Amino acid sequence: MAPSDQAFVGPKAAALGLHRSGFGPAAGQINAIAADPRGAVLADLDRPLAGAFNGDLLSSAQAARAVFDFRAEQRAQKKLALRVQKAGATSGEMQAISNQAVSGPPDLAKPNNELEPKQPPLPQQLLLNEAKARLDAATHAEIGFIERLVWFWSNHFCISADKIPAMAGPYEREAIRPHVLDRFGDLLQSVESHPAMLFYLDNVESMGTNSIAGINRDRGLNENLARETLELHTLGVRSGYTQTDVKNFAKVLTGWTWIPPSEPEHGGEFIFNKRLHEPGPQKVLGKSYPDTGVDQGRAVLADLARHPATAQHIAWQFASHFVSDTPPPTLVDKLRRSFKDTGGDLKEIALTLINADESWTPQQQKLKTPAVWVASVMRLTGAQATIPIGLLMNAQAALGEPLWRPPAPNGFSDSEAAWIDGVPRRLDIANAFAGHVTADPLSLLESSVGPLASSQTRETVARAETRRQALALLLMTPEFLRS
Amino acid sequence: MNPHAPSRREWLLASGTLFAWTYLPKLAFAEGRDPRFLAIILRGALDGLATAAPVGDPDWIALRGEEALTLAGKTPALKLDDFFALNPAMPNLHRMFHGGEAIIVHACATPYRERSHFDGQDLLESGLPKVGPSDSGWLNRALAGLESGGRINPKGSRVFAVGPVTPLIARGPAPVLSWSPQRIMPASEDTVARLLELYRYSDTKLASVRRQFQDDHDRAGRRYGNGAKARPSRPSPGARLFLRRRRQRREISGAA
Repeated sequence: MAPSDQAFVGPKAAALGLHRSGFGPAAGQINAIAADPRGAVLADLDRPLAGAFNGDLLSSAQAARAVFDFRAEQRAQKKLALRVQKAGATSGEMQAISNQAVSGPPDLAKPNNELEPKQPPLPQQLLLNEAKARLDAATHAEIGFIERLVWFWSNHFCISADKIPAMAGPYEREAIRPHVLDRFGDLLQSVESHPAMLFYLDNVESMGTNSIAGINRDRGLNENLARETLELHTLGVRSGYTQTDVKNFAKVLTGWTWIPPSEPEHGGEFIFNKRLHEPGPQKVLGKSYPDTGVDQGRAVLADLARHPATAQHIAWQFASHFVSDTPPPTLVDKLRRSFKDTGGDLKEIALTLINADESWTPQQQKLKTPAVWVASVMRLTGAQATIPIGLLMNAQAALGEPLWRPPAPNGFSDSEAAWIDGVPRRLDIANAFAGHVTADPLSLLESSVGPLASSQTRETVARAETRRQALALLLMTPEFLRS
Repeated sequence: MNPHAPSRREWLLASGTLFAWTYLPKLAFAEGRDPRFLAIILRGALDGLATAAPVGDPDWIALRGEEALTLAGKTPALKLDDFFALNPAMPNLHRMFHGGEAIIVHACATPYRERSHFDGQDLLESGLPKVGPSDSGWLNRALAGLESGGRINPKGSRVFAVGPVTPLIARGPAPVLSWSPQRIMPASEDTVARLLELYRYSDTKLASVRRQFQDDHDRAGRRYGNGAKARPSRPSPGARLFLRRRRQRREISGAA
């Protein structure tokens, strides 16, 4: 048997495959797929998506309206309280009125069973529900490759919950999830026309200087969406587009906006508002696009999806995210050609990635980002059954990767250099998590990194002073931290 | 008290094994006493003979050799009775012993002789004769047993455990009151040391964050307001021994 054949079957390959393309193994999984790890990962691509989500989650438009209503009510209550105060009410009545105000932090000295978490305000509650659904999908997935693809594309086309908390989760479910195995062009259209993206990148404020609204209000373009679409989402930086291209593309995108959430029936939904749209043809990247209303923008996006620079940009990001911060050029090239030859078929490039020998290198070169690491811990230990989702989100945030809150439109980095300084903090969190787990650390070691574990790793876990320390150390071993 | 050392309470909280058993026997309460039972499990290895040495045994020095504690010498052991003497590093325990506030029970152990730290510790806490899954610990069972005697106030007496998972010793039929700090406490220096040692051998890039481990703990110390100043990174004696032995083994085997 050629040595190269052996690298792709067996427990070691199975473990690598699960860490690299998913969130690490669940108990017993390494052996279950050891006969054909590649096949097992590829099988994930044929499973239906979004099966993990129940019907309790709001659509993005519903969420936007609900939050708008909530905030309006809050404002009204505050004003009412002021009115009463001015009318000289007693302090007792005032107390009754201000009952709805959010109370302070819980008293730390109170025992657990009295610390029933008070219901957080609506925007936070919606976010927590979404976060929980997402984590459950990752930890309960068969392999988790689809979920990793969702997370990858969601970060590639990121928005920020800082700006628009209620829509962050629904955006991922509506704009990203259904398209991760479609053509890139479909995903791109879906993302750039989603109200959450339009609001995040300020396109809802953009209007053509020669549009009706622009003339009436003396306002003009906001270039953010156009620029980030070119720089981050498609072609990549310094790939041959000019400032004029950005500006003209921004003109094309004027009118792409949302119905304000204050509108009770359709608030939060996409609308193409002609009054904001800059009239006339626009030239982008050397091609002239006639003014066909909303289709003008769709045509530009379609061409951007097909641009060779996009294929190169996406190929590199894909390889870098899953395999190595410095991906082998041969792998990037395979992905680029797959993207180009299939018209950006995302299922095909996922297949290419898994089929490529480079993806099965035995060296674990990537450092799991905080979010992937936390999800891996939960998948292995099941501790999310006893840890409230809010605490898990706080843990992730403490590690620098707050869910759906990237600091900038280029999303969270996935390189080691960005995250390695936070490794000590992960130990404290691993230690805290370990307090919630009663399983045997040595069997968890076998389940998670058994075939990959060095003798030093085994010794470190086996010789720990307590189960808790053993578990915390296991979660911090290079084999578990990396993929 | 060394201002650079973590406070005892802070250390106990961080270790997560602090628990207390409270009961209010009516008689004691009536007398104005409020007795408390505090059990502390110290994990790691303790050499009993280096703690309470049988200095009265004529074969003691011959069998023990150079490390034998004696009543003579530069740092004499502290006399307990005609036979035993206490390690000179424990003046407080010595004082309590002679004040009738402490007793020492020597050379007691569970029947466990295998090599798993975790099983051994479980046995210590479960109080069962052999290793196996247990959902209760001896302290909880004792409390449940005493409770039925009418001497315990069932409303006031509960086992109180600190930490998100009740330690085994306190688990069982008697109700447990548990509390865990809302913040994330820093991992112990011992844990940090063990982890850095692992990285030293198997992942040079991760090992390069050694300085961040120190900085992070200093910041955590200030953030959690325990008053401790910058703590030097000192592994526990148990960890030091483990690390030294591993280095020796590697040198012998010629491994890098």
